[in-house]
Amino acid sequence: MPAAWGQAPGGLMGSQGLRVLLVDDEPRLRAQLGAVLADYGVAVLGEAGTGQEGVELACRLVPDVVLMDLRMPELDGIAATRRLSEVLPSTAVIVLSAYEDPALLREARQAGAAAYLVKGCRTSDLVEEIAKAAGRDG
Amino acid sequence: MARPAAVPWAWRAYLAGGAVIALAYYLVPATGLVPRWAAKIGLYNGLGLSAVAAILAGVRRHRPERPLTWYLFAVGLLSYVTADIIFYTYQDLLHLEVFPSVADVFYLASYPFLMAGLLLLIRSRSPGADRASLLDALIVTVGVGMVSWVFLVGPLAHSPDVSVAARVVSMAYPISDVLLLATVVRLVVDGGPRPPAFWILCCGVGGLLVTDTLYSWIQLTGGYHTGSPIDLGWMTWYVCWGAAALHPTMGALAEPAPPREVRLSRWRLGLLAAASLLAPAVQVVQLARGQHTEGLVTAVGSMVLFGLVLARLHGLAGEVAALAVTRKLLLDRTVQAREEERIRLAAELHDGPIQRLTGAAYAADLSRRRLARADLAGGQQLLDSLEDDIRGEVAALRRVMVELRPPALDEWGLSAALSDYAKLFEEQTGIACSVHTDLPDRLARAQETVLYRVAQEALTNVVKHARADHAWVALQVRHGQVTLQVGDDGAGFATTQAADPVAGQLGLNHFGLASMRQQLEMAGGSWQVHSRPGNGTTVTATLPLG
Repeated sequence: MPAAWGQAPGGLMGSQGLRVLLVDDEPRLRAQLGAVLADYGVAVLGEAGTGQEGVELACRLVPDVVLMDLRMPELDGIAATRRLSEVLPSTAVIVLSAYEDPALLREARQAGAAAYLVKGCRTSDLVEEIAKAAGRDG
Repeated sequence: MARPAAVPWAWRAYLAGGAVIALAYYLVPATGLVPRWAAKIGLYNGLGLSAVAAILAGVRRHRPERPLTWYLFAVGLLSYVTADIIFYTYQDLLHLEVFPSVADVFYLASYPFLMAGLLLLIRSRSPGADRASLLDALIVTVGVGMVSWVFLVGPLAHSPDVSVAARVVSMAYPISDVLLLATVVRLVVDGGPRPPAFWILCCGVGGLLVTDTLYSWIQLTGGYHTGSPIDLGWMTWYVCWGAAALHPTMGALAEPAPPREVRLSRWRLGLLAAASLLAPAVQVVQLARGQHTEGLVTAVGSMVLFGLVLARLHGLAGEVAALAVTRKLLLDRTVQAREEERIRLAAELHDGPIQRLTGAAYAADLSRRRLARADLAGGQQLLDSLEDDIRGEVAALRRVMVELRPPALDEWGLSAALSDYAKLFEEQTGIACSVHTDLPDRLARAQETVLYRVAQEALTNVVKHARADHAWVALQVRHGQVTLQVGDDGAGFATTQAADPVAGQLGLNHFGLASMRQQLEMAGGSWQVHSRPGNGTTVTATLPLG
C-alpha cells in the first residue's frame, strides 16, 4: 500500500503548518506540485521561475523549506542553493531534479542542500523529506 | 550591334565544305586542268583563309566571354597561311629555293599567337593554381621533347651542309612544336569543360603537331613535295579550328572548371608512365640503331623526368596527407554533431516528458487522495485531466521516436517515409513541401537510411538558412543510380563562400552539408549543391543501385 494511501486531508504527521517555496521554471509542474502539497497540509508560500527570483522571494518570505529545481535560467539551482545557505541559513533547501547523478548530488550537498530528490519520487517521500528538513520529523 | 542569329548547322556545313576542298586539292591537279601550284595556292591556302574567316564569324555569332583567345588563333592561322603563300610563291612560281626566307618568319611567328591563345583559354578554364596538371603536362612535354630532340633537332643541328641560319631556323620548328604540344597537353589535362568544340579544337591542333613532326622527318630525307598526303594534316587543322569556332559550344570552352581534385585516372597514369619511359626507350632505339649521339640529352631528359615524377609524387603525398587531416576533422565534427544531437535530445526529454510526467504523478497522487476521501467529483476531474496529459505525452514521445527512426522507413520504404516527413515538415515550419518519387522497388536498407538522413538534413538547412516558401523532394532511378534532389525557392548562397573552416576545406559552406557528403561518400555515392544568391538551393545526392 502506498505510504500516503488513506491519509486524511492534512497529510502525514508533522507536515501540518510547513511553509515551502517552489522554485522551478515549469509553471504547470509548480501548480501541480503546489496542489498536491497543499492537500498534504503543506503551505505553499510562493513560486519562482528562476534561481534569482527564488533567492529574492525566499529572503522576503523566509519559508521553512525551498524546493529547488537545478536546470533553470538566470541562476541555476546549485548557485541559488549556495546563495540561500549563505544569506538564509535557517531555511532548508531540498533539490528536486530530473537528474539522478551522483556528481550533481555531491555538488548540491556541497552547496548546502539538505536533501536531493529525483523528480518522480512519491509525494509522501517528498513531504517526509520536507518535514525532516524543517526539523519536524517527529 | 545586333548579335547574328546562331546557326546550329554552320559548323557541320563548314566541315563538309572543308572536306570537299581537301578532296578537290588532290583530284583537280590530277585532271591536268589546273597546275599543282595553283591548287596549292588557291584551294589549300583558300581553306586556311576560310578558317580565319570562320573564327571571326564564330566570335561574332557566339560572342565568347574572352574573344581575345580566338583573335589570337585567327592571327596565328593568318600568319601561317601568309607563310604558305610566300613559300609556294618562291617554290612553285619563282622556282627559287630560299631557306630561310620571309616565309619562315611568318611560319615561326604563328606559334606564339597559337600558344598565347591556348594559354588564355587554359587560364580561363583553370583560374586557380593547378600544380598537378602543370606537372603532368611537363612530364609529357619533356618526354616528347626529348624524342623530338634526338630524332629531329639533333640531326638538324649536326647537318654539315647547311648554313648556321638554316640550322637555327630548322631547329626552331620542332622546338616550337614541342612548346605548342606542352600547351595543348596542359589544356587537355585540366579540369575544364569539354564540349564538342573542345574536342574539335584538340583534333585540329593534333593534326598540326603530327603533320609538323612528319614534315620535319621527311625534310631530313628531302622527300616532301607539294601535294603530298601529309598536306591533309594541315588542312585538318584549318578545318577543325574553323569548325570549332562555328560550333555552338565554342563559348563554353572558356568556362571555369568547378573546383575539384585532379584525379590520377587510369588513362592519365598510362600517359605519364609512357612519357616517363620515353627516355630509356630512346636510349634502347639509339643503341639498336648503333647510334651513340645525344646520349647527354637522354641522360639529362631522364633526370628531369625523374625530378618531375618525384615532384608529382610529392604532390600526391601532400594530397593524401591533406585528405587524412580533412577526414580526421570530419570525424571529429561527426562525433561532435552526434554529441550535440544527444544533448538536444536529453534536453528535450528533460524539459518535456520528465517534467510533464512528474506533474502527472503529482496529479495522480492528488486524485487518489481525493477519491480516498470520497471526493468523487474532484477525483474524477483530476483523472480526466490526467488522461489528457498522458495522451499528450504519448503523442510527444511518438514525435521524438519518429524523429529518431521513422517506422515508415522500415515498414513501407523511403518514398513513404519522405512523404510522412514532408507532411510533418509542413506542419512544423509552415514551408510547403512537395514530394515526387518514382522508385519501382525498395532500396537496400542502408541506402534508404542514408538518403532519408540527407533529405532530413537538407530540409533542416532549408528551415535554418533558406527563408523559403516552398521546398521539394524528388527521388528517381535512372541509369542504375538512385538520385535524390532536395530544392527550395529561398535565398540561396554563393557556393564559393566558406564560413566553416572544415567545410571550407571540403568546398562546402556549412557543416550540415559536410555531414551529408560524408554519409553519401561512405555509402559509395556522390553529391552536389547548386545554389546562387536569390535563386534557391538544390542538393543532389546520387547512389549506385544494388
